[in-house]
Amino acid sequence: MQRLRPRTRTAVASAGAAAGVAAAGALVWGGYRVPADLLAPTLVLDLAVGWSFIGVGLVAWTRRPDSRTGVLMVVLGFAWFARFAVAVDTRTGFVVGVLLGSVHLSVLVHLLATFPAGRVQDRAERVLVTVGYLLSAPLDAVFLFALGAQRQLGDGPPPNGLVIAPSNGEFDPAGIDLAVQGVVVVLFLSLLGVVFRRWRSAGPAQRRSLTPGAVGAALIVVTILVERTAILLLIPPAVGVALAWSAQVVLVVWPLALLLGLLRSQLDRSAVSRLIVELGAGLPVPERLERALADTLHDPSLELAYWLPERGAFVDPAGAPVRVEPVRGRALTYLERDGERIAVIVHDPVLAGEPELVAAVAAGAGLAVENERLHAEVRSQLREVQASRARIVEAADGARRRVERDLHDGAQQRLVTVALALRLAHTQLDTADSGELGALLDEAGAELAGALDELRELARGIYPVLLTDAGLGPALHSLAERCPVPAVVGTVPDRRWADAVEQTCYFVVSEALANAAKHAGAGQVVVDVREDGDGLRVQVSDDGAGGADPGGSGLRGLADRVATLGGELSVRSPRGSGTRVIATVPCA
Amino acid sequence: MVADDAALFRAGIARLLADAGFDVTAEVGDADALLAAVERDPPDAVVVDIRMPPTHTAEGLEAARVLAARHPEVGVLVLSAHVEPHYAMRLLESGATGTGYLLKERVTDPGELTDAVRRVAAGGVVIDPGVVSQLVGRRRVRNPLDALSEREREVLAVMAEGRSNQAICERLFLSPKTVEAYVHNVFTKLDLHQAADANRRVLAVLAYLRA
Repeated sequence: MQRLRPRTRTAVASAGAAAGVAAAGALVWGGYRVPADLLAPTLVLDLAVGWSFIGVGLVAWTRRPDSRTGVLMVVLGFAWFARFAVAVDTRTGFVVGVLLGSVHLSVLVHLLATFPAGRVQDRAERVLVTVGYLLSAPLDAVFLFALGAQRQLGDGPPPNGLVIAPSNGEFDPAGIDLAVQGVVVVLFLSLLGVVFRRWRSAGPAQRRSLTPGAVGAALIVVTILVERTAILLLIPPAVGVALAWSAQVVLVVWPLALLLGLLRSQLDRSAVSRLIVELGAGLPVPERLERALADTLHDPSLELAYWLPERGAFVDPAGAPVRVEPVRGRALTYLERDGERIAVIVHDPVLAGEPELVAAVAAGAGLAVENERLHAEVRSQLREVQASRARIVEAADGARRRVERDLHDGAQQRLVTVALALRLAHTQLDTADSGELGALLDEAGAELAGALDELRELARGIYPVLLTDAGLGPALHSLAERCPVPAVVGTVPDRRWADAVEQTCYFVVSEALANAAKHAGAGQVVVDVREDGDGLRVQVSDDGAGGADPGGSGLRGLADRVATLGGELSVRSPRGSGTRVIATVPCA
Repeated sequence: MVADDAALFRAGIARLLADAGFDVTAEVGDADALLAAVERDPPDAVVVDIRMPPTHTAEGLEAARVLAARHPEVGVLVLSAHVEPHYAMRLLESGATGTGYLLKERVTDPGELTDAVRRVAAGGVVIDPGVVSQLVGRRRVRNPLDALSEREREVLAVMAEGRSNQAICERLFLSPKTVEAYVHNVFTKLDLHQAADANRRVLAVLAYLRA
């Protein structure tokens, strides 16, 4: 709904005043004789109800243009006065009065069913609102034109004291009236159900705005229900009239309750200023901003998640990754700064109906949110660093265990065998012939050669001496020469980088080559090293089976290694189309 | 002349060489001492450990380079624990005529050590068979060595170890003419140019195998 312009407001207010005066005029001078003792209270109460709806409706419309409730209240006020057309003793007055006689009830149903948004939001509401409208003007039109209803005076002042009588004796008005009243009772019971359901499922923030209107609505609906069932239950008409009066009294006050509900969040604009003041003071504790926002928006369930663009993920104030997705019963509001998303508020859906408030809070808290976001980013990095540090320690321990095992099962075992063979040869020096001794010593020699081979490979695996001594190019060529899979190393820039950079690149290639040979069943591997801006970019691509798991211990360890230099490791390994490992390492 | 920082190993080598009839003129513990000793009394050949103080990386290679420049007539045999063609080629590239790269463990066969020392002293080239076999055995996608016959591959490998045609004859029990034909075939099939001397021939073959 568009913002209400002052000129329109003045026009509507004047029309409302005129409608009230016209209604009063119709009642007094319409041509019917109204008992004097009923005239004054009827006038006072009916004018009060109509003007209350129009006046308060205009205020609501002005203050909350995003909600249609204000408009509906104004319409209800006019419909309220329109009923009095029936008090004009002409055929036109009668027709208009009958057709508009119960429109105010339809609008009331509409208003209640859709409060506070004023818009139909689901199927149940749509059914209620539609049935509500069908029961007023259309049904009355059927009575009037198809069944030929005519006026006949009943008890009490018009419009209440009007009985529509049949023009011929073909149908029983009491029976049809009973049926209609039955539908009305069901309608209002469902309405109570809808209002109650909404109130119950509402979060605290939504309840704050729902409660005053809902309580008033319940009162009105219950009064109307009792009034209607009074007809069904054949309660004396006098009691019914009294109930109708009390319903009207409630109706006078109810618009104010609705307005209060609508404006509660508006009143909290002052809370936004308090929020800003509060944010200016105090120490940045991770959840403080989240709690401050929750207090300001009266939604204790509110959660704040910060966007980390580099990681493409949301994290909570403590830096732990969180999933942010639309969930039933929760609404998401994204906060932006300079066009960049910085955070998301996960909140009670009612706040989605108050974008202005959320925008005000977001604007007020913007700097604090950005500040907190940076904190969350640091915390997130810290968590990642702690995790990777733990993994690095674990990897180092694992590597040590492997070296121990290789030494123990390999070289050490062989050396023990050699020692044994030598001891044996020594004891046989006197007895055995030289052929036997020679065989023993040959065996010892072979074992020693094996031990030497194993030790050499082990030493190479622990640290490639060529890397420190000759640099990355020769070391990578040497790796490729030993690789069980044909490996080609492109031209490596002939210069030296920091030890850590060279070592990291070397181990990236070494691990990737080992994976290509062991897991990928590759037919060829290509290693490419180039200087890329201030950094070094190493790419190892194979033509193997793909499907490598970047979270596996080997690649994870490489990623950690690369990350310690501030670099990045990317692994692309679609199943069936090879694996490509790319490490970029800054080395400025 | 023997240079190695591990005293026991150095003494062992000296003893092996002495037993084989060599006259070991000096035993030193690092590259500087080696260079000084050579200045004083240039030997026919030196045996030097690749890894010595102060950095324990490739001091032996550096010493070989200096010796090749100052005393090209002195043969240099570098002993190494690394099967790294890179080192072997660096040694050849330093330009010495009598030069060799041998794995330390070969000393368990005194014949191999003394043979290598004799060859470098005579201005020949020695490349450890382990290094050569790594190069020859390397996995390749399109392996040009597949074009060679088994005999030709054998000739190629022995050639890469630095043997002369005459030595290949003895090693593979072939006549000089046959060996010459094989060598010619290998060079033609691999599109290599026949080099003028042993050093350059080995270097060309190794470079080819590394490419």
